[in-house]
Amino acid sequence: MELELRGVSKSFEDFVAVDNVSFSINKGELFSLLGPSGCGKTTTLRMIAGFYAPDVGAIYLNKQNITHQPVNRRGTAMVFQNYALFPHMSVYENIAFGLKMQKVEKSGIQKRVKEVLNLIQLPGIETKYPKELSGGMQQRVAIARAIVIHPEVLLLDEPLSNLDAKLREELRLELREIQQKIGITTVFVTHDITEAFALSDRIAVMQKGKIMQIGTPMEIYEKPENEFVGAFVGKYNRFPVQVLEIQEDVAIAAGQGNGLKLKIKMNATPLAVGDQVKVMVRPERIRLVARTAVTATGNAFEASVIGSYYLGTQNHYEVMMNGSVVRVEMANDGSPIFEKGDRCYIEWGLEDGGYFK
Amino acid sequence: MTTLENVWKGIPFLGVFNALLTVFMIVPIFIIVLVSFSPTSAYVIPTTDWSLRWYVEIAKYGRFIYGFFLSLALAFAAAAVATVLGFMASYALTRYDFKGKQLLDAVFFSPLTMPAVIMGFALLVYVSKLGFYDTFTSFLLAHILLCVPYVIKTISTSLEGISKDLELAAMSLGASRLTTFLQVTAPLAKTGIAGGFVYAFLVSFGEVTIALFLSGTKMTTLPLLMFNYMQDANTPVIAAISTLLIVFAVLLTAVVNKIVSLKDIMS
Amino acid sequence: MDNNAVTGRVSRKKISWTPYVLVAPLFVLMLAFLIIPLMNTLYISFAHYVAPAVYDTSAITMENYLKFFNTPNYITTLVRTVRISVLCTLFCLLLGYPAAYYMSKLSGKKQQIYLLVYLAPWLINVVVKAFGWTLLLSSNGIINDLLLYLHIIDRPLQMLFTEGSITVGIIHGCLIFAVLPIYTSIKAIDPHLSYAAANLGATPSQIFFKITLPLSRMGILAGGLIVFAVTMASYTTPVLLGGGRNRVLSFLVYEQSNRLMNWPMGAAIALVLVIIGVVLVAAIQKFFEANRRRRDLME
Repeated sequence: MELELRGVSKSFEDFVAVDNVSFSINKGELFSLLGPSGCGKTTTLRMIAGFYAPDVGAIYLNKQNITHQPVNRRGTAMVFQNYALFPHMSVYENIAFGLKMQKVEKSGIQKRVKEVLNLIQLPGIETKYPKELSGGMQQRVAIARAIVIHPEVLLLDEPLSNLDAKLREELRLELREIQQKIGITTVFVTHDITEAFALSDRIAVMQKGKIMQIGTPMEIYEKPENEFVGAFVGKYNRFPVQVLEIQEDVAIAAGQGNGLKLKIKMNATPLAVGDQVKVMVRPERIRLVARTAVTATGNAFEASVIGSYYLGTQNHYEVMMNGSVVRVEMANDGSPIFEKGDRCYIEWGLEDGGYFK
Repeated sequence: MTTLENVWKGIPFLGVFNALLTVFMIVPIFIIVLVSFSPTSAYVIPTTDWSLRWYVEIAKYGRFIYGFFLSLALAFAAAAVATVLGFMASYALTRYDFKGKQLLDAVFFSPLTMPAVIMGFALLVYVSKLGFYDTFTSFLLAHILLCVPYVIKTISTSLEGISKDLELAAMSLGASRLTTFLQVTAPLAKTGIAGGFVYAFLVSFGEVTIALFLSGTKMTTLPLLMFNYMQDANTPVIAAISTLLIVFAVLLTAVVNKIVSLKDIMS
Repeated sequence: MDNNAVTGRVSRKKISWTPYVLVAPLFVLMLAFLIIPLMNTLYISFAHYVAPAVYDTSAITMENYLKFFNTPNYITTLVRTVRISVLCTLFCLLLGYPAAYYMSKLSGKKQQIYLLVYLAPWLINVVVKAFGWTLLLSSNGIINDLLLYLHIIDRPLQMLFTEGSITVGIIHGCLIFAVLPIYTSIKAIDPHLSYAAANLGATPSQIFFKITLPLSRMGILAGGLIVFAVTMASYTTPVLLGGGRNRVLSFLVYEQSNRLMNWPMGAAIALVLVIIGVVLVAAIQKFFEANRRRRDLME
C-alpha cells in the first residue's frame, strides 16, 4: 500500500468539505476521486498535496505520516486544471524547475527533459513559451513537468476539463499509457464518469464530503452499494416495492397499488418480509421481446411501447409497464425494432437487478 | 451589425460634446506650452516670433534648479521606500487571510482619502514638537506615507493577476517559499513593481500642499517654488519650467503605460 | 510550514506569522507618522491657545469649535467650500457621464487615447494646471484678449479670482475621477441586456434611461463622492485661482497653522473639514452600499 488516508476531515468555517474520508491506494494504481462539484474531491486531493492541512485524520505515504509535511517535501507532484505553467519560463525551464530544486546536475537535467518530452510526444519544443502552445500541448507539458521529478504519487486535478471533447479522449488514452508505462501511483480527480471509468483501476465515488463507494469501475457500475452511486454512474429504472415473502435467496416483492410483482435476488444485504426497498435495473439489462420465455428465473412483464428512438448503434425505448415508465436500451443487432404503440414484453434475469433499502 | 451598434452614434451631439470636452481638457496645457515660447516678458502667444529665451532664463534661477534636484531626490527616495514597504504589504494583503486585514487595508489607504491639509497640519505640529521641522527626513516620511496607497494598489492588481496555482505548482515541485517567491512571484510581479514605483515618483514629485505646511526656508521643492512664484513675480519663465515639467510627466507616463495599464489601477 | 500562506485559509491549528511580519514595518511607520499625529491633532483641537505655536492641553475646551461656528467669516468660508464642492460634483457628473458613455463605446486604441486625454490633467502638476487657467482667464489673458479682439466685449471680464474660476479649475482636474467609475460601471453591464430590450421593442433612448442609466448608478455615486471629497480637500487650486477673496476651508487651516500659529484653532478647523469631506462621504457610501445589498438580496 502506497498512499493511505485515515479518517481525514476538513471544514472551511461552517462548511464541511471533507467528512471522515479513508482509503488506501496501491503502488502503481490509478485511483480516481469521482463525484459532482462540491463533493470534496478536489479538497481531498489538495490535502494529499499538502496545500491544506486536515482538521482531523492522517495521510500516510509509504507508511510514513506526511500529514503535516510542507508542500515542497512530500513526494507528491500536482498537475492543475489550468496547467499552471510558469509563463515567464520556457518549456525547458518549466520542466527543469523541479529537477533544479532536486539539485540534479545540468547534464542530467538535459537528459531527463529530453526523455520526458519524447514520452509526451512533443520533442523539440524546449525553447517555446507556454503562451505559444495549444491547450493540449500545455497540458502535456504540465504532466511532463510533474512526472520528470519522479514523484512517489502523481496528483491530477481535473486535468482534461479545459480541453475540447476530442482532445480529451486523445489525451485520456495517452495519459493512461504514460501512467502505466512508468508505473506511477496516481490520484485522479474528475466529475466525468466516462473519464473515470476509462482510466481508473479503482474509483472512489464521493458526495458531500463523504465516500459513497470504492471499487473497480465494474463493481461500481454493476453493484452500486447505495442509490447515489447507482444513479450517479449510469441511468437506471427504479421500482419502489415492499417484500411480501422470501423463498431461499429470492424475495418476492410487490409495488404499492400498481399490481407489480418482482423477484429480487438477495445479495449481501438481507431482506425481511415487510421491508421497503427500491429495486434498480439498468436499461441495458432489460430486453424487449415479442414473446417471453422467462419464467421462474427472472422477471417478465407485459408492456406497451410509448417511445422508440433509433440511435444508430442502439435503440432506446420507453415502455409503459404497470403504470410506470421503464427505459430500455438494446444494441442494434439486426433484430426487429419495436415502434410506438407495439405491445411487447420486457424481461430481465434475477442477476440483472439490484436494490437499496 | 445590428443597428444597436450604431445607437450611440445616432446621438449627434455626443461626438461634438466629447470633442468640445477634449478641447476643454487640453487647452490650458497647450496654452502654457505656447506661452513658454513668448518673445516678450508678457504672457503672449507667439505668432511670428518664437523665442527660447525663457528656457535659457531658467538657468539663472538657481533656486529653481535646486528645487528641481531636491524634488527629484525626494521623489526617488520616497518612491523607493514606498515600493519596498508597499510590496511587502501588498503581498500580505493579497496572498494571506488574517485577522485585522480589513482594518489594515483601510489604514494603509487612508492617506488617499484624507485631505492633504490635515496630513500637512498634523505632521507640522508633530515634527515641530519633535524637533525636525523643515528637514529632508520629515518630507521623506510624509511622502512615503502619501505614496504607499498608490504602490499598494498597483502591485496588488499585479499580484492578483498571478494565479495562486503557479506558486502552488512551484512548491509542489520542491521549491521552498523563498525560492518560489524569487523565481516565480517576483519576476511575474515586476511590471507591477515598476509601475508602482513610477506612480509613487510622480505623486511625490508633484506634491504641493504638504510641502507648504512642512517647509521653512530649506526644503523648497520645485512645486512649492512654483506655487510661491506664481503668486508674486510674473514672467514666462514659469511657463518654460511648466512646459518642461509637462514633457517630463508625459514621458514618464508613456513609459508607465507601456508597463502597466493605468486604467485598471485608477479604480 | 505555511500551508495557509499559500492557500489563504486560516488553519484552525496554527497562525502563520508571515503576513504580520510583512506588514509590520509599514504599519509602524504609519502609526508613528500618521496615526499618532492625527490623534494628536484631534487632541489639540480641544486645547487652549496660549501663544504662537504654544497651547495648553490641561483642560478640554470647546472654545475653538465654538469660535469657528460663531465667526461669520468662517461660516461663509465653510458654506463657500461646500457650495463649490457640490457644484463641482454636479458638473463633473453631468459632463463625465456622457464622456464615460462615449468612451465605453469606443474600440481599444481610440479608448486609450481618450483615456489619456482625461488623465492628462491629473498627471500634470496641480500648480502648472492652475497656471494654465490663469493664462486663460486673467484680465489680460487669452480669452479676454480674444473677446476684445473680436469686439464681443469692451472691457475685460473678471473671470479669474472668482468662485467660478475655482470651480472650472477643479472640474478640469477632477473630471477623471468621475469618468472612470462611471465608465467601469457602464462596461460592467451585460451587453446582451440592450439586445434583449431592443428585441422587446425598446427604442435606444428607452434602453438608455431604463437599463444603462439605472445599472450604472453605483458608478455615478462613487464618482460623485470622490469628486466631492477631493474638492472639499483641495488647497492649491482654490488659492491660485480664487485669490484672497474666495477662501476655502483648507486655506483656513493653513492660515491658522502657518500664519497665525494658532494650532488649536487650526486643528479644530481641520477636524471640521475631515468630518464633512471624509466622514460624511464614507457614511453616505456605506448607506448606499448597504441599501443596495439589501435590495440585491431581496431580488
